[in-house]
Amino acid sequence: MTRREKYNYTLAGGILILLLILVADILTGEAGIGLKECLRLIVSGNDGSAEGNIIWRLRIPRALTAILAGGSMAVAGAQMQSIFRNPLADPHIMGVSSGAGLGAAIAATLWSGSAIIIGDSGVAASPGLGGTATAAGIGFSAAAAGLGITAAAFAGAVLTSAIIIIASAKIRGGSTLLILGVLLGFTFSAITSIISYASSEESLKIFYTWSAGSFSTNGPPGLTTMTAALLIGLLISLYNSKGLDVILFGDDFARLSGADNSKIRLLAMLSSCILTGAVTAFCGPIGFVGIVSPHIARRISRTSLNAKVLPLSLLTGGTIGAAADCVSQLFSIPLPVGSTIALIGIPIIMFIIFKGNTNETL
Amino acid sequence: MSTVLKVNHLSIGRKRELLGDISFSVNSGECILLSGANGSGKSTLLLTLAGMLPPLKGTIQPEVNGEMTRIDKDDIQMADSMNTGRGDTALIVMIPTRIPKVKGFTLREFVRTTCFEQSDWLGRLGKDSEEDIEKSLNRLGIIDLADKCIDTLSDGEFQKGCIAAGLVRKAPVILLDEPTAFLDAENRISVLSTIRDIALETGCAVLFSSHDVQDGAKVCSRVLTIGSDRQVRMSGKSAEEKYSCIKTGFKNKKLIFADYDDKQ
Repeated sequence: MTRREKYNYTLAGGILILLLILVADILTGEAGIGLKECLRLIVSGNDGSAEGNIIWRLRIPRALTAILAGGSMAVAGAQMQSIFRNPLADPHIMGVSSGAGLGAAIAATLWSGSAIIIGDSGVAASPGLGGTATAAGIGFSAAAAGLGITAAAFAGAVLTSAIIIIASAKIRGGSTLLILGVLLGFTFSAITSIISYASSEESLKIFYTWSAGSFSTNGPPGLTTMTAALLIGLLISLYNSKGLDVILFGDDFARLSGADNSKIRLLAMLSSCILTGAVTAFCGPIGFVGIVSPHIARRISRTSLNAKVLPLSLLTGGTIGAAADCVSQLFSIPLPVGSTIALIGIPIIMFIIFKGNTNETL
Repeated sequence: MSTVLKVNHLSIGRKRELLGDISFSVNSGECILLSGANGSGKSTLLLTLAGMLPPLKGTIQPEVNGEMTRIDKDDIQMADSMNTGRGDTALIVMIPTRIPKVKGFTLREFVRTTCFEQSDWLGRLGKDSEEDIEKSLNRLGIIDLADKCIDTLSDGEFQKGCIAAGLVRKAPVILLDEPTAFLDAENRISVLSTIRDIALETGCAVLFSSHDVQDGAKVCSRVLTIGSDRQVRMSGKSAEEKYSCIKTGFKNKKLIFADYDDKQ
């Protein structure tokens, strides 16, 4: 079997596993809907019954969100690991999520006067959904709060990326940039803490609901935005893939090979910003998928060529996202998915570190 | 034997002048050792020759189709497009030192990444370039390793891979920054003799920096030394001339050095 064939089989296997996890994720949830009933509803479409609404309006959007979020963070992480030549780089570590968190905290403080927390983008608040029916008036203000947080989080992510992009034009070293990102993250977290310390209980709850991370409150507008962001981000990264390869061998090596390092870094940060901004805005800060998924992709494909690692990271990230969502639904009280991913992700990262596969060269 | 590189009154440095009034010329098929103390400016000189740093004064003239092309300090734009490996017009190719053996790349894939400008957006190369890669790997005797991951190669084998990457772009001048750094004795001698053979067989000129002056002096045709007095000197071809040139790089002139000193 040639390397190319092997890779294609790996890719096909990855898609299959992702689909299986997707179905498993749709099957799990609080409302005990039988396996047969579930599968029938998936195949036949929404028949308007309560179960149909749960499957088509809650679980399927939630599972798709999980896949989109995991995949997006993985593609962003893979690019950052290349441009910073650091196996632990990802948007979460680089402070982009903290920037989004600061935006969300500011928005939550501003909106707290007028809203009752649901912490969503407003769509799940439409009446008749699995018992979460809300009076129209409250639904409206909750929607306003949700949209406000979404927009503010996106703005925070974009702003942080912009600072890193501007800095990357001046600072040449990858590790210096990484330190800058980590410090930015700390700064934003500190400001966020100060804001939450001074704000009301109500706005704190809005903020904490968002910051725990959730896939379950995303509706069609969120799904559309995230899908578009993923497509654009992935295309930019694939276009940039040979640059991401050559920069792994050092800045001098890349320049001497005829590459434009600033352009490679700029495109990678732009793509990561679009991907992370969309995910963080709709789902809250999602860490660890971005670090772990590219490593799994490299391990199973036995290559670091980004043209191959990026599509495969999308699959491994999506799979981890859906799996974490599935696990978070297994308990009687659904767990915040951001925390679930952290608890699953940290042991995997420890494994990567202690297995001795972590050195400066991926 | 034709001149492939002519350097006239070159002055180099990142911001202020590090070395000035550097003049020398290199012929095709020559293999030249660049020696000098740590921090004396070997890498800066190589990077300037490769067009990565603008010359502060003076000119670097590589050959194009038998004609010398002038690169002035005001002509950085041109220096960039002439020297940074644009397609077939690369005149001076440089391989930096201590390239990391990144996991997950085969030797062939690694060599392919250096053909950045020749490949399409997915990193695919034309048939001619792919053949050039095979030829280069063959010439260095490492074609059997082409499909092995570079992190499984020995440092000496990988260094030969790096030289192959320099050879692929068919430039008349190849600059190698410390190709023998961290190599054990066997690999060092093997890499050095490979460098000499490459220059003789392909007719391209190789300028390599190294601290392994004893082994380096034996294989090279001439020595270019950055002296402890900050003067850059090119030696003659005899062993005696090479050794005394290398010695200008030492601060302590009384150091006993190599066979040359023993014979005196």
